[in-house]
Amino acid sequence: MRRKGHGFTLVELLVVIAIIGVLVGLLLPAVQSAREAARRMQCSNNFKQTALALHNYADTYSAKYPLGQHGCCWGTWLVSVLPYLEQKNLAVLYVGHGFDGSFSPAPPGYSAVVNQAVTKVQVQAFTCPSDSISASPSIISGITFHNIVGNFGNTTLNRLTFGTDTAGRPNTWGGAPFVGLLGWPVGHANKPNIHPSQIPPWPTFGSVTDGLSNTLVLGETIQGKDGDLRGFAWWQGGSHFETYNPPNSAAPDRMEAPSYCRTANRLNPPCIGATPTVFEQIVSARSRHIGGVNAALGDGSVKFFSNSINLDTWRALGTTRGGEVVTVDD
Amino acid sequence: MSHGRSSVVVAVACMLAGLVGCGSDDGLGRRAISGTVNLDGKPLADGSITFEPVEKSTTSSGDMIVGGKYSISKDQGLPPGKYRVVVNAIKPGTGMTLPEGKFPGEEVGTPQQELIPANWNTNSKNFIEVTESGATEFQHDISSKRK
Repeated sequence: MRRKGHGFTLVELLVVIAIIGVLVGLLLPAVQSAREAARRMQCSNNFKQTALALHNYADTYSAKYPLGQHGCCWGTWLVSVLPYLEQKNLAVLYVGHGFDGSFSPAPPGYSAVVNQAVTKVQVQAFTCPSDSISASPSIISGITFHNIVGNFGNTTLNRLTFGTDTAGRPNTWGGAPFVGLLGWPVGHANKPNIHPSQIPPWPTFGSVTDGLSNTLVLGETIQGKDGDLRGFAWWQGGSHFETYNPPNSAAPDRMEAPSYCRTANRLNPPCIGATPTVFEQIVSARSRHIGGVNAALGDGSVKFFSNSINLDTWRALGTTRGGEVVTVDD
Repeated sequence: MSHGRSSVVVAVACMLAGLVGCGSDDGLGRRAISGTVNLDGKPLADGSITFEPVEKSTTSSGDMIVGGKYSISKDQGLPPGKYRVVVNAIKPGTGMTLPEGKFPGEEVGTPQQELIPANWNTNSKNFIEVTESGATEFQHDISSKRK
């Protein structure tokens, strides 16, 4: 059959489209993963900046880490390190940071209108671009969520012995770079009061006897969606993580109140209200990356930790003076 | 003509193969785990279950219990080994809530209390054994009488 003029047959056209389709199919995942890799690197860089800010803080305050939490509401370590992230102008706006519950009435907390000048700001240094921003005017007045949280050790927020280790012995708290004042000021209804005996010694670089390069300081969290409070780091319950469960664990996190988990949204990882007391809170390190989380060690190095990291190793990295032998692989 | 059609078929097959991609495997030999949890013979409506390794350190896992059932996918599952079973649930009528217009830290109510007896959580004597080829579906019958 002789063709009239030049042109493509339908089959040729389909073949060309199919080939283009294959090439695009090959290219798209590569482009997407390159974009995610770039975002993960940006996140890792933010971890580095914040870890270095902690070193600068320690240089100023006799080798101390900032106190993780001042009661429920009077500032977390985020406020303490702001001046070392070139955010001093923001930090000076915060009123009542560092309140220890010793007088009444209590100064304004993170949610007070005066402090919303600070707590509505999305601080880029604490944010990972792999995650989407949760803050919105309809959720908690638009106060921001972040992705970098402090390591509170291998058990619970309350530094209690919790669960068993993999040898079947009680899993005891082995120290952490961050500790907090728990509770509420004297006279607050229905709540355990802050008591001086609850104030543990402030961790210093010197108290990290496991070695700064063998101890996690900062870990990644996700910004909870629809009012889920993971990553709500201006507040006590959103500023911490524990190494009791491995990164991105399927084991549910335990939050202070059941309504602080919003697992109806599938973007929010498993979560329940903490029992038997509200201080048995455990929040695992979590991320939107594939296969693991970013975390910063005490020496300022930032590493990517796999979800399948050995549980003993992960818990050992969570302690400052547990005495375990660990090596951090790259 | 038939030649052209077969090349289209081959091209589409290639494209599908590209889309399927490669499943990730972390080398732990994880297995999907599922099961049911009953409290005094009735399915436990809400709660959590956690499996913690004993004897050999690998990884832990768990899930939320909804309507007495839980199910852990293979990529989050358990490698072969022995695991301590920890079940937690909130006693109905207890728990902190946040009134409308209040901020976290201003909760009201009593802290949530544990519904499940201690021999299933803080002092759990219940274990499961995950093997390379054995059953991965478990049933946990909890009695609130025995502490």
